[in-house]
Amino acid sequence: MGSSTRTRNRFSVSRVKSFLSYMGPSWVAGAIAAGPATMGSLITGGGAFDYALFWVVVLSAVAGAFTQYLAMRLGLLTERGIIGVVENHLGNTWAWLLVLDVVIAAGIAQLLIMKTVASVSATVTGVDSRIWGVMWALVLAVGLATRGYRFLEVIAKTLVSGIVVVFVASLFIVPIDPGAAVSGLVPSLPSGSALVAAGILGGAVHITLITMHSYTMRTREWTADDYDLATFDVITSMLVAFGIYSVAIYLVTASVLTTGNLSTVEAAQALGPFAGRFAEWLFLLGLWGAAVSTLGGNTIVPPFLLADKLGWGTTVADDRYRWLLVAAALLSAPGAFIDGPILSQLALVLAIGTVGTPFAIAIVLYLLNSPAVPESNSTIANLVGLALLFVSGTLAANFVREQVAMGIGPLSGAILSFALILTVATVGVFIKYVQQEGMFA
Amino acid sequence: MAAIGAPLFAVFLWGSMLGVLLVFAYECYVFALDSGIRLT
Repeated sequence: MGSSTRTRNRFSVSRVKSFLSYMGPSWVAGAIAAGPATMGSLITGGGAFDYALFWVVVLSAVAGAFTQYLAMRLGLLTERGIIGVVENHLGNTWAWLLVLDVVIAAGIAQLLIMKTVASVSATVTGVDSRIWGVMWALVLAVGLATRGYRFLEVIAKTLVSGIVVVFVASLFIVPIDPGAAVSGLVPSLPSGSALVAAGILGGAVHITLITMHSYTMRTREWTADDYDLATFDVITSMLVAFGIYSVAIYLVTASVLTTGNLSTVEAAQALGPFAGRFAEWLFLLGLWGAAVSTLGGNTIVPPFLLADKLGWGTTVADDRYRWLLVAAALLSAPGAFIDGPILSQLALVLAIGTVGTPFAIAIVLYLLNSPAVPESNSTIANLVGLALLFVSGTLAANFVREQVAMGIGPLSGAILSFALILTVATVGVFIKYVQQEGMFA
Repeated sequence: MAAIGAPLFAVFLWGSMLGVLLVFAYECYVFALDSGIRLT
């Protein structure tokens, strides 16, 4: 009996080891989540509001892991891309609405990520950022169409890992105030913090990440048999790795920086206590790495959904998908021509993404309780899913209210319209669910 | 500092996060059973 258990344990240990070598799809989502916009939001939040938004930082890692877990369940139990499932079980209009939601949220993010790559490249080389924008768009288009971009992403991820290590190491050097950090776990939104709070949560719980998961798992040919591996993949990437990344950056900047309206050079001062005169270079390389790896990951998502909706293949083996990728890459070039301070604009982009996210969560929850999947969600998973839908909806609503309170202009008007359409759509999903279940009949 | 919903929201928020950890713990438990790992 004992030896049989040991044999099983040995088998399990080797299984865990093989898990490590096969992990993937959720790490792609984690790499996008740990992008420059999240970094910008964390730094702006820590600089402007000290430890007060620490609860949002912890929430973002937990909620990000859970929404990826729900997306993973849906992807594995249906063994299809999310758009095809929505089309079959909710209808054509809903599928198009979800595609549109992703194209808008990921498209706006793409422009600002390109701006970050281009302007950091310009700072380092002295060559105009607009020239860099066009060059990077071409590199991205050719690289994604031929898979050559993966090489660049490996370098970028190494740089991001490096900066995370520096932030974690800084945690032991800078004077963190543990009492203030613990009191930051009590939820509160200081005046003017709604945008950055929505940005921090939006970095982890984002429609782009939720919808891409089914496609990246399909690329790996994962099926329901890989359920354990996929769960392990989600927990290690989003809860553990992304959690450490967010908490380290936030606590260090909350401790060192005193303002949220920062240039990249000012933000680099957060690394000063550890890196000294190399702080600026380290920070710029980390920001560049985060932007390059997120740029590649983010570009593939709208083409995934659009190709699925049009009935095309979702790998470069299908030429139509390949051209969609090229178009998405080239369309990001105008991002380099946008003026203004990068870090706060990045937070704004994620906050806009947060407005689009509750609809995606509602769709995933609906499908996980519909005939689309062979086994329904557990009650606790449904309750937690609804709670996170409520929390992300509340943060998104606070952000929209703060934008509208500053007066209705082209930007705030567009954000308000986006929010209203998606609120109606989210309520519509609930009505469809109630109709389907005949709950009140 | 404007607390949103005060203590009730805090309980709701942290209760939800505890719920997430419970779901993950359950998945790990099922994984352990499937793999033949015994805790006792």
